[in-house]
Amino acid sequence: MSLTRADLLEFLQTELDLDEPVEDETLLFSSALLDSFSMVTLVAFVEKRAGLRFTPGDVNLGNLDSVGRVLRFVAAKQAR
Amino acid sequence: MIRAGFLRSVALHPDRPALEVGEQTLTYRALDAFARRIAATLAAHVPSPRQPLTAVFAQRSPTAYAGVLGALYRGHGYVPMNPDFPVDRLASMLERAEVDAVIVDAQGLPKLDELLRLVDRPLVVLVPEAVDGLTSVPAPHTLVTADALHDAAQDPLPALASDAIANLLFTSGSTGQPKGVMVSQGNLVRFIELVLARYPLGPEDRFSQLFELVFDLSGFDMFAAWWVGACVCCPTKAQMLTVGQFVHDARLTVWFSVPSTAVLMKRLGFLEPGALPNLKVSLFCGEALPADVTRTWAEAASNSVVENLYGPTELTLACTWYTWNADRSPAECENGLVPIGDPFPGMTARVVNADLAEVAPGELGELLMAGPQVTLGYWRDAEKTAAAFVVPPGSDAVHYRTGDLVRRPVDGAPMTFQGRADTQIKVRGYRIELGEVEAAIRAVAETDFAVALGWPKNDAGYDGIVGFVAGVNADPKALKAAVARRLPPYIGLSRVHVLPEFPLNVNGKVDRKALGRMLEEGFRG
Repeated sequence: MSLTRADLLEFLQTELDLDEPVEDETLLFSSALLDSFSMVTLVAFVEKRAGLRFTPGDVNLGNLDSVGRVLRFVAAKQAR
Repeated sequence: MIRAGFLRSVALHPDRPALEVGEQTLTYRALDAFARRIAATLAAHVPSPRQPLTAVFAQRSPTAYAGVLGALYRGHGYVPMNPDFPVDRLASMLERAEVDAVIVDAQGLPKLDELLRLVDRPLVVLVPEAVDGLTSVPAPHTLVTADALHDAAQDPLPALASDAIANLLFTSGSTGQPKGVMVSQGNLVRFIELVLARYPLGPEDRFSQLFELVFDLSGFDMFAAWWVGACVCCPTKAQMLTVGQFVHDARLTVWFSVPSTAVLMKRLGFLEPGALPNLKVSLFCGEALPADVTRTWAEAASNSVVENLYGPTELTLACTWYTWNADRSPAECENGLVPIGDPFPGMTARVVNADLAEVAPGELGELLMAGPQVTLGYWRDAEKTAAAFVVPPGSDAVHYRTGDLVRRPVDGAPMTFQGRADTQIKVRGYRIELGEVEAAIRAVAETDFAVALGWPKNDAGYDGIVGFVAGVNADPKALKAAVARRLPPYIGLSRVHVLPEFPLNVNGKVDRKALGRMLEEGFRG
């Protein structure tokens, strides 16, 4: 299973109703573009698409606050 | 007076932490000194205010809390204002509350200039923390910065009557105009004394502060903690995003949140059995409490009492309670929701029909409550106050009409929440009148009719709101953005759909249920 940048961007737009243009390092949560409830939706999407499980320690801004961070987190998790 | 608890803790525990926010810790001594300087500065610059009220335009900062205490030390009620709110709304709050002074922190600065230009009455703008680059405010307002704070006066603090306003809290109003609920000193003290008699709290405790100051429930965290000499642990905005981690980092022992926060933590995997061993008191309030997340929480916080509190702002934070019991409670839940339980000591409940006459036990009716937690009514709105604060037939006590539907309990069973008598909904614990959202959509879309619905539904309430208009020529995204700018962000407006025409029911009225079904079937415009 794989999760691409395009998948993530489409998900942010259609499912999380993000209207603003987003680049790889645009901060999503700490900039208040998205709120913590959207984080649940994002985590569920990433788990399903990338075929992995977040542990409570994985759920943090370092792994989730931008498209780039999510992709790097997924790559690192899958490499393990 | 509600400040008395804090003052006693200053005397008893001057070096214990009173507040932690971000990397900063303020002891009781330090927070007291900061608040006294604010109070002295207010007294010097506004010696005779038109109203005994001071606005606090700040959040999640030492200034926010010192501002609350400084206003109370001054003998004023505080009017909390959230920097995330739209400036028009903030300006209306300042005007309507008739304040002469506003305390501002760094988070309030980005909107300050625009806000002050919308306010005609001269304000003293007190920015008591060091900030860069702020040298003036637009006329006719007066800026007082940190270096101009007065020394803390040693004079006794001004005395206050128990019916003086402790805080003025603006809540959603169905016509689009927020209502200001006046909570008295006596109301708050009564509430705090009751919760302190019920829960084993002391100076070693560390209270969560997840609620914004504009949310009445924030009063429990602050005033209960300070009454017993405990520490208020206020997460930063970034920490708020991952509260599951914050519980551990802040070593919380007392938890108070809306149920939605618990649902969120459960979904993110933070509520494994035994995961929250340090908590000893867990309280939920603000929206319906789902039974399954309560069971999960009780297993995660296995050393904690877990309670469901219920109450509108008009009845001082909360006025009924129910203790979760793993053996007994599942049978007492209705519709998958934890009962709201029994009235606080001194409060009485009546469950009534449309004529305000009591219904028979077991029947559904509107909940009315009377007692010492009934607040002073709505600020400068005698009409709305008279409509909501009533003396029902057969009683001589003023009761507040909650608008909440409950079943009148039979034989000592706990009260259960059944729904609303109007179109007020809860979005993540925030109380929202759909009429207010509809008014904003109508104004922006320049149309006579709009519909707002809670969407999507979760176990406790709703995650957000979706709007609809029909027959207008507008771009949905632009429309949504324009409406969202007029409303506080907690409203959670996710979309505004532009339909060719509204679906109608057999009576020719707009069919709100059909719109809900469209959303359920995946309608995306």
